[in-house]
Amino acid sequence: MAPTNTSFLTGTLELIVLQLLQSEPTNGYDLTLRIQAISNDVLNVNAGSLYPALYRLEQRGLLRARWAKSETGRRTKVYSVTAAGRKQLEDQRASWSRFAGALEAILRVAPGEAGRS
Amino acid sequence: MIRRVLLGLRSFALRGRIEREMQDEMREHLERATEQLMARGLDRGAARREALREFGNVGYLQEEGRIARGTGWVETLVADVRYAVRHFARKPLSTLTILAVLALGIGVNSVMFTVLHTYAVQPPPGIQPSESLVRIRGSQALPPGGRIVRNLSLEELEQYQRLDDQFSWVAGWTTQLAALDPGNGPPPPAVTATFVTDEYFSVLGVRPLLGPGLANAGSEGNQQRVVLEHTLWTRYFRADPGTIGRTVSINDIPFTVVGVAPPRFMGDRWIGQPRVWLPVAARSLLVPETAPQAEIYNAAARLRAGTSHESATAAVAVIAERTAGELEREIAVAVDPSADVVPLLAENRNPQFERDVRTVSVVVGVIGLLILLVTCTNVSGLLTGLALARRREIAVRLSLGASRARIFRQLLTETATLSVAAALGSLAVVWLAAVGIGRLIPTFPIEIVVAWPAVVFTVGIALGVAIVFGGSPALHATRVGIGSALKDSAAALAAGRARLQRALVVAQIGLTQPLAVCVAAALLVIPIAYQRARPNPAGQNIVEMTIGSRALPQPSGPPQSAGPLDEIPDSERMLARLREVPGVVDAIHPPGGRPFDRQRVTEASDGNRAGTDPDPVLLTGNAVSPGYFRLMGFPISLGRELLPEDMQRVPGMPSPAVIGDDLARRLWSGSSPVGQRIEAAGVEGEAARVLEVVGVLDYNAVAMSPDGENEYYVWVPPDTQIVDPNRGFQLSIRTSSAGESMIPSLRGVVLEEFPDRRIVEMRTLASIERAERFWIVVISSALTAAASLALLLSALGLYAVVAFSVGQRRGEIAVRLAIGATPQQVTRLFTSDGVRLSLFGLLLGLPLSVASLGAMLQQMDDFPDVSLGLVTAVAAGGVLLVASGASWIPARRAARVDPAVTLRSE
Repeated sequence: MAPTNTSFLTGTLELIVLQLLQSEPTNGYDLTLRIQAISNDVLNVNAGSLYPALYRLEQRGLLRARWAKSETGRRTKVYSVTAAGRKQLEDQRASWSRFAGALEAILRVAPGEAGRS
Repeated sequence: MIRRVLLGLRSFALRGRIEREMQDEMREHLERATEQLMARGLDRGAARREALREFGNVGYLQEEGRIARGTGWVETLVADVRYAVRHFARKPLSTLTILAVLALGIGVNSVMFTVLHTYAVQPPPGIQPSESLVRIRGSQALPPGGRIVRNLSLEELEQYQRLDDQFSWVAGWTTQLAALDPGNGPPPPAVTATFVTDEYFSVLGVRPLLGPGLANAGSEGNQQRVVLEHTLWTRYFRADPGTIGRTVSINDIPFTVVGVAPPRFMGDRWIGQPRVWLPVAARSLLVPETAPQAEIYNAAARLRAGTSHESATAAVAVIAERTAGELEREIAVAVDPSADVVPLLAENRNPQFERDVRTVSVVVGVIGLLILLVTCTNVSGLLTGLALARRREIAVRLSLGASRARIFRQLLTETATLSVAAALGSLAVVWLAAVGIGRLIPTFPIEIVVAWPAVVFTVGIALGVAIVFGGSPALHATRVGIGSALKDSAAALAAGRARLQRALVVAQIGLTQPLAVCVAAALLVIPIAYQRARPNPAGQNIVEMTIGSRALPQPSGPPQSAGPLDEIPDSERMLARLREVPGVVDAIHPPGGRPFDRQRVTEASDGNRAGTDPDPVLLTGNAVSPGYFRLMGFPISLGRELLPEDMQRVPGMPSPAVIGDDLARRLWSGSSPVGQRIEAAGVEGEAARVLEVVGVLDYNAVAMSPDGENEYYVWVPPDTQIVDPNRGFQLSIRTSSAGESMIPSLRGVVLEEFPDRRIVEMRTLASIERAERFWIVVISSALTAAASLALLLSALGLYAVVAFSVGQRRGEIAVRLAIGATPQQVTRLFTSDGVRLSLFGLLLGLPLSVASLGAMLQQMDDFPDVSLGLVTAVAAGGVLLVASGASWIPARRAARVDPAVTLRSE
């Protein structure tokens, strides 16, 4: 399947970043790889979107960043989710579930069904 | 919102580090991506290029990152401020004028209101403001019409202390001048010994800085305990904590120091001598026992919760009328005694205080309002001019693609930058006047509390005006079509704006005039104050000595006995003894008291003009003793001064009197007044007073004069009064050499030969007058400084506004020259235009001048006898002079320039 970079991503990038960083704090590059891997290459987040999103979340106090040594011995900036970030993640997940459920219901409507009810 | 601003500022402050980290992070990302691609088989160069392509534009990303961090607006702001500073640096004169006008205007105003606030609202220094802290203030009638302070008797005080339903505590105190000898060096000057009841420090809410203080002062036991004022402790005990427990002597009686008052606390006053506080029971050690009816106490109290000043006043007034009324009937001293309850303020002992505050507030309010208005019109005039001059610049920037909002924000930033700088300057002025003076002169005896609400208010108003006027032309300028603005030459600037500027010039002139008039009127009062404080030329050769009262155990019976001063046996012996000291020319009891006050002359013998005089002549009698005029060096131009035999009043015979030559001229112009009689009506119930003139004083030599226009002083023997033979008294000694050098030998004589008596104070008249003049100098220099600043401010502002508006018309001047006008004609044209504008402004300002002058004069009793029309004319002339100068100088400068040069540059 070809990588998707559609507008679906807009608005959900924060959710993705928070969710992935909550399961495991990591750096920006590894985060792009993980998004790609977990979504089976469906989602390809480029650096141009990721870094501003990371800075915004950090500025809002939802992420914390610290410098660490990676396994290869490189100095790398590792992001992790703060308590406020976890709270935000819960909220966003809940609203995403509602949105997804609603969309699902709409997509299940058979052709012509709406007019009959 | 605030959180965002703070985070933005934080990121901005750390921007260097954050920027570095961002670059590091992105570099690392690219490295990893390159390695990854190399692992897939690309060579290093190709991998790097591919990684970069995937990553996107690094610079753009970094900018995005900065925006994400919210520091963008901070950077823009900093850039705008930097631009503003550069812009103002290019116009140093206008900028400095605006800064000075704003800073001085706000500063002078804030200082005036601060001083007013301290005087009118603040409790005395060192006392915490509190709703419940009140003064119980006795008063009595002062004919005609006024009321003066009346101290409370012990009986009265005790009755107030029993008013449990109104007050939770009532404290009383009474003061006495005393000599404090710290026992470790030269004695300090006289101190005010304050004898206080137990509750004094609790009522005032003051705890000693050191030591236990006077707790339980009223109980039996050692009464010889004293609390020192902080200044005494620092000056005479080098702020040594070991002072507690030491013994000092007060009027040669030993006292143990049990406390040091906190800094700034000086009792219930704002201004005054250094103080010591003693238990009220110690008073009998220093002063003879006083009858309980003697009215010597002041009182302060804490109101019970839920009690109002009004209900407390009603309660104390009843008691005052009853107790003091009894006393009044007994010895016929107080008239219509009363009392009220008012907040404890530094200077409101006097029942006239509320009226005085009104006077001062009106004067300060009128001048303050005018200064504020002048400042505002001034700044708006200058800012409008400055913004007008930048239309081309704005148009160029608009045409280069800047957004309107961006330019508006930038112009607003500029005005705000200027305003903030001016606000800081004004705060410096406030600090210097209110706080700095106390720091620079540690002995400065006034405690000024900065009225921050007034400061914030003035700063707010002035800055608001600055921003509105700085911003409004900016808004207008950004709305203009670019093309038209670019085509426009400076000479043909939007007519609407030029009209606004001219209107502001007129407003400026209209407001400057009343300010100048009021300031000139306020300054006219100063020479009167100086006249009153004119030093005696012989002051160096006159020594004034205060002898302490004798505290002897009293035999039974009241301690008073009736008789004149010379019935104090010690005083006569001392006078006689001092006259024998080599170098002493004479020694007398200085006169004291006023046998009568402002009584109307009903008849004057021979050439009686009193009956036909439309204005009643009012006489005030000053008590005088034999030899007084000679000793003081006051010349008697006709007749003689009072002699010892004049002191005995014979019932039914006229009282001998010395009058001033001014009264002599008024009543008997031309003929000799010696031997003439004056009859003055007594206050209601009193018999008329007949005076016989024995001498005429050259009035110019006397350093005092009564308040009113038709009032005169006369000098008469003192009335018979109640005198305690052990009481203290005063001596004046005339010396042939400098009095200062005679003081040790005079002190020696008194100490050796009169062991029962204490010298409380001994100073030359010159040094006493110097101390009195200190205040006049302080107050009048403050007033002069404020007035000069206000005048300078308005002249400066007026000049700048007018000059700027003429400068704007250089193009017009050039056109006129080009079509054949001579430079003289052009200069004349513009000057006369400026003068016309000024006259218009003066005319508009006239009603305001009259109104504000009227408001001020209504409050000032002793305004000098000068024509107010003259004051107004001089002030208006000054304003006109500055305004025409401001039109003439720039017009002449513009007329001298070759028109071709001017027009080309336009």
